[in-house]
Amino acid sequence: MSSAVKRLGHFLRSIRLERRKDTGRSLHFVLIASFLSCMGLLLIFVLLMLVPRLSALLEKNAIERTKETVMQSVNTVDNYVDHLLSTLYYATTLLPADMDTDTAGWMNQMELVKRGNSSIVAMAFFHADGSLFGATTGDQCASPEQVRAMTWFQKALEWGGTVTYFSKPHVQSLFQDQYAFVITLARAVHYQKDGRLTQGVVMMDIEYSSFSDLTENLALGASGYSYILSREGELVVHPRLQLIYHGLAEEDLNAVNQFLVGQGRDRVDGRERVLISATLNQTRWRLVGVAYIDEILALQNAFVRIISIVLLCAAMLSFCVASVMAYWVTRPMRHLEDTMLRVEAGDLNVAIEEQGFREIRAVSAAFNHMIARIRALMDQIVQEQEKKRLYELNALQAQINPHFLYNTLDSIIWMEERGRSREAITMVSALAKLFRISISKGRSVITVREELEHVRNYLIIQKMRFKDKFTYDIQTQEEALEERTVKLIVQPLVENAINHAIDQTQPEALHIVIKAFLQQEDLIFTVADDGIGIAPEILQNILSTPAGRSGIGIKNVHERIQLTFGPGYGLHIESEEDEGTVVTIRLPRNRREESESSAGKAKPTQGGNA
Amino acid sequence: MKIRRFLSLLAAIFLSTACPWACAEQEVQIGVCIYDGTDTFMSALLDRLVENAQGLARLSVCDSKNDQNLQNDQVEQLIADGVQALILNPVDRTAAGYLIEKAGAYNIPMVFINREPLLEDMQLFDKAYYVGASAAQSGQLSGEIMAEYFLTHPQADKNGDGVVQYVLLKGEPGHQDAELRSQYALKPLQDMGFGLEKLQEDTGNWQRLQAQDKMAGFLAAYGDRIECVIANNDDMALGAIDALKAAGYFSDGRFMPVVGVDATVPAQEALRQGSLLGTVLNDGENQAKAALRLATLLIRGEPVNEENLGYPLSDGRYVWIPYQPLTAEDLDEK
Amino acid sequence: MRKSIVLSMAMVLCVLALLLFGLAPESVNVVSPPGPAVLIVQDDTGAFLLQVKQGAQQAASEVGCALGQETVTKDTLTETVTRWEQRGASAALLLIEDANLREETATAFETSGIHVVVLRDQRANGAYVAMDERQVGALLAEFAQNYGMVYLLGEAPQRLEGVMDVLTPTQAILSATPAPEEQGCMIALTEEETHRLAILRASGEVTAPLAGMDPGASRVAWMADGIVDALAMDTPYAMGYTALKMALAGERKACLLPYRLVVKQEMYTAQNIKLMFPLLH
Repeated sequence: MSSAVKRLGHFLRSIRLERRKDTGRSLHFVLIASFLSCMGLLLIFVLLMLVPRLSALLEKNAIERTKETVMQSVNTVDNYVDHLLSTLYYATTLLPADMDTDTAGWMNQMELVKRGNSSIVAMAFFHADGSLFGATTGDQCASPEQVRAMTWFQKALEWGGTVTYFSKPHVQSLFQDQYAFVITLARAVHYQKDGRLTQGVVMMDIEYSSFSDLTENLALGASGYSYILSREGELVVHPRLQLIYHGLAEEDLNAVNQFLVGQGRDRVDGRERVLISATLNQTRWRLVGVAYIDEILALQNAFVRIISIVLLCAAMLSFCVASVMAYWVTRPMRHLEDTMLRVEAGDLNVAIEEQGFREIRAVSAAFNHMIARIRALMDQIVQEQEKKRLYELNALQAQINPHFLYNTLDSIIWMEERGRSREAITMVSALAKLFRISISKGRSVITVREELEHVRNYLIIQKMRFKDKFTYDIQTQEEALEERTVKLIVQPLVENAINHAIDQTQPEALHIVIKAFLQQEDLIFTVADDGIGIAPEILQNILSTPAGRSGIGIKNVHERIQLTFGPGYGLHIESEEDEGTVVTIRLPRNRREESESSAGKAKPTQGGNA
Repeated sequence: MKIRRFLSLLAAIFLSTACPWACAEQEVQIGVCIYDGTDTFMSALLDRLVENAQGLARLSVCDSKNDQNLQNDQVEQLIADGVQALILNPVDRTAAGYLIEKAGAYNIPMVFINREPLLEDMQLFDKAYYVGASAAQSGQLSGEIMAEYFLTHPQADKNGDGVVQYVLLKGEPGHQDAELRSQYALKPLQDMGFGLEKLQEDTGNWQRLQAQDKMAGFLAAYGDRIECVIANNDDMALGAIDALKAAGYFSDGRFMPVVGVDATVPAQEALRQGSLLGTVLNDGENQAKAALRLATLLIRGEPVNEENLGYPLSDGRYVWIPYQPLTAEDLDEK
Repeated sequence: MRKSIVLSMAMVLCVLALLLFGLAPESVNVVSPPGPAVLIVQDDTGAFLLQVKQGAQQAASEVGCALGQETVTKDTLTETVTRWEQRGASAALLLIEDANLREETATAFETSGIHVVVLRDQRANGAYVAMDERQVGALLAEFAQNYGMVYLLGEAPQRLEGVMDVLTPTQAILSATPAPEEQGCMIALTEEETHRLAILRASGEVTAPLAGMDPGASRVAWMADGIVDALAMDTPYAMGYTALKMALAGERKACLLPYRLVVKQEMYTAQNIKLMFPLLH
């Protein structure tokens, strides 16, 4: 259990909105967060702006409709009352001009009127003293005192004929043995008796059920209903009137008696109700419609519920969409990231697929180019390193040329056998010096002095062997002597001259001139001879043909110089057949390298990959 | 320095806006509800109210379109809007009691005009008043004109029996004015010693055409026995005259005394012509003035008496603006 | 990334669940109305039955249930019970005078699984709705005690107890018919006694005011004429209503309803119409 909790904690923490210091905020996260916050803002906006307003409108609408329904009922009752009042008025107009005699005529007409309306139970006319003039129920009537005690009689007289009195529902007891549950309408009437104007009261009993039927079946929701209240706030009509009278039910009239007419609310048994109280014409009554809020607002509640659910789903779906979209958008970038990590680990042979968004593609293409370029450069370096190694090997090899050594040793033995020890010693010491300089303690760069010493020793040995075949001259510039140079670059040229420039057909000796001098920023060696020269076709390719039989070869020298100092330096060969050859070695001036001595100015090396 | 300038600017703004407030306090806010804007007398009365309210009160006027429940809503709205008094012309005078109770709960004084609530309802609130013209008085005055005629013109009693045979054209059944006018119009004749015989009565519903029809019916039934026509208003009186003219009256010296109430322009014309015997002027101008004056006094909490009001006060809460009788002579004098 | 995918999946599931349950149309609380109820009577006439039926009808219409009526005898009992059982009756109200028949009928219905409530009479270990006899005594006593002397007439032990609950120990009580012109008020504890005393009063032999039980059809005339001053009326309408409500709720308890006192000034009011004029609607 606790481990699960721990895992959950880890999980939650990992999705916490923290900024990781090393790697920076994730774009994926930022995309999701920004998308979500946009959606979130939109949803909140909708919620705050739309929902309450629509909700309020729906509520208002529902209550308006309820009100309209109640007003319809009010109209029905008003029409009915109007009809009753017209009948009453008509009865009044039918009162005979001579009230003393014509009772029967009036009675007959009243009977007709009564038959025309089934809800009329009785009609009667009383004089102001309570005595009966005539009634449709016959002439058996209560005494005038009893009549005068009736509320409707008193009220009718009090109001003087301008307003009709509507009584509470009651049992009509005036007419002997004729009991009916009625509402009594009564109105004072002025008529002539004995030529004088007097008052009387016309009365009409209406069946109670015709009133109670008026408010039935009002569509105010499943539990809604309506009732009628008298001016005094007593129930006149109510669907549960008898139950209320028996104390088995009740109607809370507090709210209605407070706001009197219009709209109000109350709460009964935990349910909120809306009450609509409207006045009924001419009766002084009110009709109250009761509707239960949860019923009439069912639509509104459903609306709010549906909108909340929909919005919540929208929020959640937007999270999903945001995640997926963010994932999709950042996929090429992640691919890029992965590839770059692989490159970082050393694998240069990867290439990113150029796919996805334009920006990503541009970056991928650039990255691919970059990797290709790096690869090419690295290959180049490897190649050059290979060559360098090769040359160094060659150079190393050249330091000890076996043929030359063999021949020289032979010469020394020959001289020794012939007793020419002095020549032998010269040759041996020259050979020793030659090899000493060749090796030069492993250095690849020596002074010009040493290089020329090397050549001199070589020439000494060769002169002894070749005697009159050639002559030489070494001319140096004083300042050039201390310059630095790559070793073993002059001797191969001299060797070449000796091997190839001598014209066997001519008795004259080849003359070789070796010069070393400074020219501006360059160090120049020249090896000139007046030999047979080099054929143009050979001359063209001479710097590119591989090393000859004896030693390093010109190409080797040229390449070594170029490798060390760059393409602006190296060998230059001029030759004319039968005239001679001049080979020029060009090097940059380079006194001391800082890595080999502590003192001295270091001249900037020109170009080169040294 | 800057603060002082800012404060003085603020003060200037405040004062300039305070002035209308102060001025507005002089004006009181009164809500007015008329039972139906299409009623000519009431719309004229409304115009008088608006006229006289200039500079005195700000009126919020509602037309209740002959729907009491609409008026209930309008009154509720007016109370919510904060009116300081109400001038009400109820659609259903029997339902006014609820409005009186309601306004009473908010202690908003009410002045009813032209349609009078029941006394027991008026007594629910000590600041409920009524300004109107006594329908009884209008009936009485029209009756007096008739009685005067019969007194001065003995030939009016055609059969010479000392009894006035009359026909009655009543207004809308059940209407207070119709009842009272009918009742009281007969009194002066009685008081003058004439007997009364109602040949017939019927309702013209305040309308000329209906009255004309009914009169034609009366003429068909009773012909020359009819000695006079009593109508509850001028429109009906004129309708009766139309019927009489069609039957040959008002020419060749045949005359029938007809009285109405209201003193409308066509009635005055008929007076001049001599076809209408008399009518009674319903003084809308003074009713409007009295109502406004009364409302203003009540809002200001000043005592309501005849001095302050400028009009007679009955029973402490009724302002009866007298009707004026109008005959052809009265017109000539004007 | 993976975390957000997991979260997204979880959210999609939540969305589906919400849509399924949240947007489903609200199951209308279609509570099917209870099965029909039946009023079992021995004698199908009389104002009392009419009122009981009206009250039960009101209760039945409030829940949308049907109400039927059956007269039952010893022979037809089983068949009646079976028939109503087949119809899925939910309640049976019994208004039966014969105690044995009543008990048999009650047991028969109960064994068929139909809730039974007895009207007007009491039933041991069963549900019934009857008038509160003790309370009526108190009611009458409250009316009478202001008249000075109280004449207690009629044999009704429970009602007597109720009277005694109210009358103070110092109250003067007699158990004999008063002589003419004697002061005080008569309390008639039974319907027959009320009838007898009313006749005496009508003939003038007795003048003391009379407060009693329902004397029968002449109640209106006698009260109107002042022969009886106060009547304690039973409430069959309330009985029927209460009984059916109890039966539908399956309650097995005893319910006693209070009598109501009617005096002349109020005899014609709407409140008392069902008491004084049971045949009027």
